[in-house]
Amino acid sequence: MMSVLVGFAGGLLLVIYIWYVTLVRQRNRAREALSSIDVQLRKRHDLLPNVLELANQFMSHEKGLLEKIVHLRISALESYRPDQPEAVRRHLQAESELDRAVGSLMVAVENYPELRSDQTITKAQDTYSEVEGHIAAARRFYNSAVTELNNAVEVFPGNLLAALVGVRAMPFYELDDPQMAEPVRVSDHLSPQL
Amino acid sequence: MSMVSMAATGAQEKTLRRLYDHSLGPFLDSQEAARRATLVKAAGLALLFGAAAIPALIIFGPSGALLSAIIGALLAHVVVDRFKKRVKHRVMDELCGLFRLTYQAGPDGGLVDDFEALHLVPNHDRRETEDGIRGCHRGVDLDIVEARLVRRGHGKDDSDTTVFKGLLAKLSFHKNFSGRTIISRDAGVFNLIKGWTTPGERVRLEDPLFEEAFQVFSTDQVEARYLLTPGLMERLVKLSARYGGRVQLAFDHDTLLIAIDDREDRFEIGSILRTSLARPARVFSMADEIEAVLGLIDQLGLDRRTHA
Repeated sequence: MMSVLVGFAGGLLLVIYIWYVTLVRQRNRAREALSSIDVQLRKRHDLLPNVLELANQFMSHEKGLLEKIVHLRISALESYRPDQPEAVRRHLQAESELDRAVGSLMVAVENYPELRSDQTITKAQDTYSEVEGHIAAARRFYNSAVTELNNAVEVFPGNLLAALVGVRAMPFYELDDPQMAEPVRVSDHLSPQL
Repeated sequence: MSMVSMAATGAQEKTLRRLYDHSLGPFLDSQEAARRATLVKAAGLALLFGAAAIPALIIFGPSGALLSAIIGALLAHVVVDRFKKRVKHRVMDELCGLFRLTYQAGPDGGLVDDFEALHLVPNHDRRETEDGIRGCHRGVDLDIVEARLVRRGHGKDDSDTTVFKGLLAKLSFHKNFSGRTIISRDAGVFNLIKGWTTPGERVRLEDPLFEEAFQVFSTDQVEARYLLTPGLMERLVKLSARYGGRVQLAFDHDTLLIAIDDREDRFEIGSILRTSLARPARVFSMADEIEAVLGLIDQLGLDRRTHA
């Protein structure tokens, strides 16, 4: 009887240990994915000063947007603790806002032919587009890793063990563009002649 | 729209028709006498060795007769095959020229090594490659061969098995990358074994249809997703369905490698036994086959510099 109990307890401990290892692996995977996002975001941050300097010379009507980008870049570059889900959420939120603002700048560039014809800005647009492709890929990797982690952390009885060892769910990196949620008015995109 | 009708549209149809009328048609007509001569020669060889089978039967027994008949059939086949290859070479050469591509009847098997190293084709003991097509289409550099890979039997079952028969295509890719990403077809219950033998780490992607059709392994999780955009995944699922799931791919050294094991024998001029060589439909069909292969580039959107 005693040996059965010892065997059962040993088996249970083994299962809990494997569970614990899996949880930690998934958390580390999500952190690895987060750091790969940061590597890609860094490329965007490095690209911005040159673009902003050029845009400043030509886009006098977009002063507000340019200043907003400068501030958003500063706030996105603030250091954060990757083990704090709330800090990660704020960091990703800042990056999302910066992404939207830079996207608006790239669209606004189209209204300035002299800027558009500048080789530096053309090259910057190409690089920006490539960097965006890498960021999108890193975001997909991160969200996939976070999905696995959150499933393990939030579903019973994994939530009990996760709470015990301090592994917490992490936020997704979502691009919540409020403009995308609104219905498109076709008339806004058609010229009056049509 | 079928590939036949795709090739035969508008300006392309006119160019193809002009090529046939001015060059290929007269050439094929001129080969008519040679075709008949080849058939006579082949029949003569078959008859000669068939007749020799009788004394062989008397002298060496049934095995001697059988050997004589086999030699006759083989020689007849070689004669016909050599003629067909010569004609095909000229036709393919001109058709590929129409697409600004170069044709090589007997390419070396070096391309197969690249595919073998990436586990895109099975292990094999013997390889036959033919119909090499090279060049640039819509800004994409391509190197394509038809391959047949054979594994020798071992032990009791010593018969050869064809383990791959189809197309191997190596195409330049419009994105820069440094890692290696292998997209192998779903192996069902053997997925676990495939995971152990394929280099790289398993990449799980969001598209359930893609995950049903393929398994992805990569040395770089982010790069694999950079290459396999949702749009490309959707196109790969369609491509796989078109070839009955017998498609495997890899991204390696800035190129995309595609292996299609569809058991098709492409770019053939067909039988020379009863009909004349000068059949425009057959030539147009060969042009369609080239177009279908080039269609891979359009289907996969490889000429587009997009992230979609």
